[in-house]
Amino acid sequence: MKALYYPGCSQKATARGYEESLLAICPEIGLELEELDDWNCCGTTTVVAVNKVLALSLSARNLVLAERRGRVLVTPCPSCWLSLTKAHNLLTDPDGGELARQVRESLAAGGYEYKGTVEIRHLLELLVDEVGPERIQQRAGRPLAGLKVAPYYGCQVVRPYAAGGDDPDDPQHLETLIRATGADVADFALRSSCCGGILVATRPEVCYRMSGEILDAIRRAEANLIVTPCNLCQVTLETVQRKTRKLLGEKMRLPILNITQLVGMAMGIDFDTLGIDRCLVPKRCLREMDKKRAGAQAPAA
Amino acid sequence: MSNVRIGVYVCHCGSNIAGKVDVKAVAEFARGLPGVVVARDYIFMCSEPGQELIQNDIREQRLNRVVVASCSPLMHEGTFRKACSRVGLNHYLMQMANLREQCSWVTLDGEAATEKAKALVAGAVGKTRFLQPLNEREVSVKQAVLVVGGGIAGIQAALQCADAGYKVYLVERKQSIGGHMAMFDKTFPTLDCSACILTPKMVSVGQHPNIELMAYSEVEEVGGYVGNLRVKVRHKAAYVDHDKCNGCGVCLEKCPARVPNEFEQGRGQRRAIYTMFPQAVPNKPVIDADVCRFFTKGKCGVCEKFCKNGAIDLKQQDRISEVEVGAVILATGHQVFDAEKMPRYGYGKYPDVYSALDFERMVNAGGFSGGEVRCADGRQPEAVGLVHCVGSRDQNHLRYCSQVCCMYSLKFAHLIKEHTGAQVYNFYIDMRCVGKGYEEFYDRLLEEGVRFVRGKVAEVSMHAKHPSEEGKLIVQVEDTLAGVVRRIPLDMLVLANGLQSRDDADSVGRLFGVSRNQNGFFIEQHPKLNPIGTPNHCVFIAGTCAGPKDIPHAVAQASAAAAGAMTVLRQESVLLESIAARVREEVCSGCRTCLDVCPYDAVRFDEEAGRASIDETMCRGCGTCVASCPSAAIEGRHFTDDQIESEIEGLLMSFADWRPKEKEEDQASESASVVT
Amino acid sequence: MEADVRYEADLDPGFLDEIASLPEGERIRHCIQCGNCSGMCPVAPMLEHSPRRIFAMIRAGLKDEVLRSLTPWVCSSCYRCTVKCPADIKITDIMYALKRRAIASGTLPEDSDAHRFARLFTEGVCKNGRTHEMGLLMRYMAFHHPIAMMKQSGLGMRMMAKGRMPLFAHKISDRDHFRKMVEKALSFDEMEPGSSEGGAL
Ligand code: SF4
Ligand code: SF4
Repeated sequence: MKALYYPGCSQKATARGYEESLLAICPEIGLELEELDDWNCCGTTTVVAVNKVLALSLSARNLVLAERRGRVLVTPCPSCWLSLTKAHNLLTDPDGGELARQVRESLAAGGYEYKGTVEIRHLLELLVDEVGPERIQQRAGRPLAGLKVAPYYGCQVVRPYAAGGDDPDDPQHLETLIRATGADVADFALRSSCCGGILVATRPEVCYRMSGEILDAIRRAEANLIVTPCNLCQVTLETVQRKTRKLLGEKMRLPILNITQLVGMAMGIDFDTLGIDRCLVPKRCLREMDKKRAGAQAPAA
Repeated sequence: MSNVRIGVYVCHCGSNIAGKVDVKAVAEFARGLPGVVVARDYIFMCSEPGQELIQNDIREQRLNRVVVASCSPLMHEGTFRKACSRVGLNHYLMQMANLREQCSWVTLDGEAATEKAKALVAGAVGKTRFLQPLNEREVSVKQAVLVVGGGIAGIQAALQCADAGYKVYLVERKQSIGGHMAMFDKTFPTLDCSACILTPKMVSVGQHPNIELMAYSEVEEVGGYVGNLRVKVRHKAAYVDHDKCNGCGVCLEKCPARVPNEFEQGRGQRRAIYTMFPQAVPNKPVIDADVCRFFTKGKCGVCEKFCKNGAIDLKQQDRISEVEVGAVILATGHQVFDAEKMPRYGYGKYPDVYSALDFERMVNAGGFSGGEVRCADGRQPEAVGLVHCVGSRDQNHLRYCSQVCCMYSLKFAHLIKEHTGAQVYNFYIDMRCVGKGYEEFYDRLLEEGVRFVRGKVAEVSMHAKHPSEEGKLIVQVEDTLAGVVRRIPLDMLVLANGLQSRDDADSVGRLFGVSRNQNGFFIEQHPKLNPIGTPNHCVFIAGTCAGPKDIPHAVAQASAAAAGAMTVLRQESVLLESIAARVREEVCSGCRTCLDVCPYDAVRFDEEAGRASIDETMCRGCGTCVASCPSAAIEGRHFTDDQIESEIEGLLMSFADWRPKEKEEDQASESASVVT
Repeated sequence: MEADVRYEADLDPGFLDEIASLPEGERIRHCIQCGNCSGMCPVAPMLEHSPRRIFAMIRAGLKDEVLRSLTPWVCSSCYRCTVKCPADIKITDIMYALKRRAIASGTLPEDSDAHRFARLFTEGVCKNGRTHEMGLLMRYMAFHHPIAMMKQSGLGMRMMAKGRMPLFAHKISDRDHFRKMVEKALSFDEMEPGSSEGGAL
């Protein structure tokens, strides 16, 4: 499958491992990505607090660029996915009203026009619906049997719209993929609670409490690692995990991976290529995780 | 009594009885009582298998008496009576002991409950030993219905019975039928005009060949017995011969005496000769003798002069008529709470504080202001407040929710916005919008931009504390949702008066043998399963006399009451309870004491013989005469002396060697002291 | 919350209409004050004014308190409230609208500088077309939380060591057209004119 690729700003920085692993697994799963040329920041939840027309125009410009190159636009970032979707919805809504008019005018000022033909997909739904768990299973040369993985969705991939028609109250996309890698699912209550990531700079104490509760739930579920489709959640949980001794009275050192990294691991791709080495936990924790795999423990008898 | 063979049946009632009472122990105990040949316990005695249990024993064990120890006879006496008579046992030989309402439900301690249950069973067994078979008598039912009250409920009930072909007497105290609904402007939540939907029904009542409308009349006396009630109705003197009057209305224009118009809540005027409103049914006026100049000053007679039909009859007197009916529907309605009882709301003090009915008339095009919503000084209000729960949900006044005020306040809010465009504030405690389309109506009002402030209005004053409050009515209220106390200046305030029982509900209830709950509303036979019936099998209740309710519910209840009344009539005959008093003539001294005490007028006196006797059709078996007779000449059948004595013996016997358990603390301290 | 009685004249009863006139505020009048949003909200337990109460305050016309409230700034954009509101109110989006109003009118909470973060973020995007996380954090933290920045420097260093904190901002190439679009967008202002801190960046 061919698709245009909108990385979003953090894939080039804090979430580099997410992008690296995505690009690494693409050939295996038959995904041909073409990075959108000259894309800009989607505006995320922050610009909208300053100027709504600007926020929507920022997202819309990316849609314009995508429309010039193709149809399907995929992004791994839930927040980008939501921002792009909101802009698309507004500009394709016959009742878009004054706001839509203002956004269109702004676009026009830059010589842009959006016709509304782009199909925006989040990477997670693409992996489940287009690639499919069977294909991932087939390609999983080093299945992850023996690992117990906590599926952590975060917010915006399930709310306010659930990507790929997943059930917002009981999402299953991550579980489907985890099972396809041969790993076990660690069930815990706060799968789609908010990590508070957007508050990490402005209200760190609030963010720590929110992420701390999630980490606590994962600890109780006895997971070996955490997997998430959200770049912001990934970095937030990593950051807060460094404070678990203070927050929870016990140090947690779980690898926190992006979903593409988990899939890549199952395919036997090395940690370096997958950007797993960029995790903030000490390398030894990653090695320990790797050793827990059934295959690793009992080499061909 | 050697040939008495009693079966005792102890019901678990699921866990209702068995959860507290040791039913096995009670059955075991019953087995030892004199005359008892079999005693059983069973999970549901009222079920088919439960009844069969009893019937089999009657057949196989040749029982001639049965005691069922279960729930209240109000619930299942009929069930078990029928079960017995189906296998040939006279049903007066079946006695119930109430182990549920009178024992398990009201006793906390299981052991004490079991002892009490034993006593109740022993009492019932004691009585049963002396029971005698009695025969019921069948009497025919009068084929007419009396409906008391001509509001929407009475109208509905009357039309329903009349349409089904039954003769109906509809008694209305006022000049016209219509009740409160005739005063309303619009009805919630559909906002259709109240008069437009009501008046066609009023007209039908007036014209219906099966309905005899007795307006300006009151029920004076009720006698008779089930299915055969004799009702005396007082027709108040109208001073107008309604047979001659053609309703032309000339007199209404010519009459010089004016008084505040009650229908307009005293805000407009009417004449001494009046109809309540233009669409009144009957559309024939009456003269209010209290204000008529002819009666107060002794001269006038203008109406008499102008009436072309010679219908004015200033010598008319009250007239009493008597009707015989098989069933009665009480639809006597409610009255509104008097807001002057809550002086802090300023009703009666500030001219721009209105009651709900004031407002209904104000906003009604036919009302005192011609439908203009205006302040007392004629200004159009810019801010109007609606105070919910005036009197309602208040331990100091009406303890209950009046059920309609939230909705009619929403209706008012809509009408005020529509008429004036004013800012409208609803001050509410909870929004209770339970009915078809009601929540949707609330949602519509939210959309219309009506302000909602959750909080009971603390006080209303004109004492300005801020320049913006000068000359305004100021409402002080906690906005409990925003967490601030607010002062809101208004031009007009409308109070949502609660609904309460009528001042005369007590005497009406007495007349028909219907009792009232703690709030004064008539009590239904069963709150869930028979919300229209009363313990008096041919008397039904409908509408707000049974509790606050809105129009659709009043109409539904009225239809149900009509069905109930027609069911009584359709049966054509009823069985009369044989439980009646009987005078043993040989003992009667002729003192006449019983004549005075009987509440049902059932005692006759044979002057020649000098002896009293009892009309069994009238007697309801209350026993008052039995107790009052100084010569002990009267016997209450089914409650004879030996039956009651034996019952008491039974009750006491089981307590002979039972002592109440020591309190637990006492026991604990006792055992503690043993240890030390 | 002030303990004093509130005079209607000091309130702004038009505030509700103001919010209701925004596309996201369309259904705000339908709020039945059920509190579902507050029960759902992960940050409500840490707030003085729960989301439900914010709506009650908007309704009461407590504009100043609402705009000075921390609630919109502590809202984590998790959308839990929005998806379950029985009145179908776009709560999260209204929180953004409140932030915009607060910035535009300069009516800001005392103990928060989240609005500055938002402005720095927006400025960065307007300039480069992309977000430069490191630069943004440096500017925000250095100006507003220098001490906290030192405490967090370990994390920053580690991120950098892992190659997750590029030092230099990436800029888009077609900045010319981009800037025109941005300028046009910034010229649209849903706030009333004459607002203090709002307008062009
Ligand atoms: S959930 Fe919706 S209706 Fe309920 S209080 Fe919150 S905003 Fe209002
Ligand atoms: S979106 Fe904001 S207000 Fe709504 S629940 Fe999440 S944090 Fe609370």
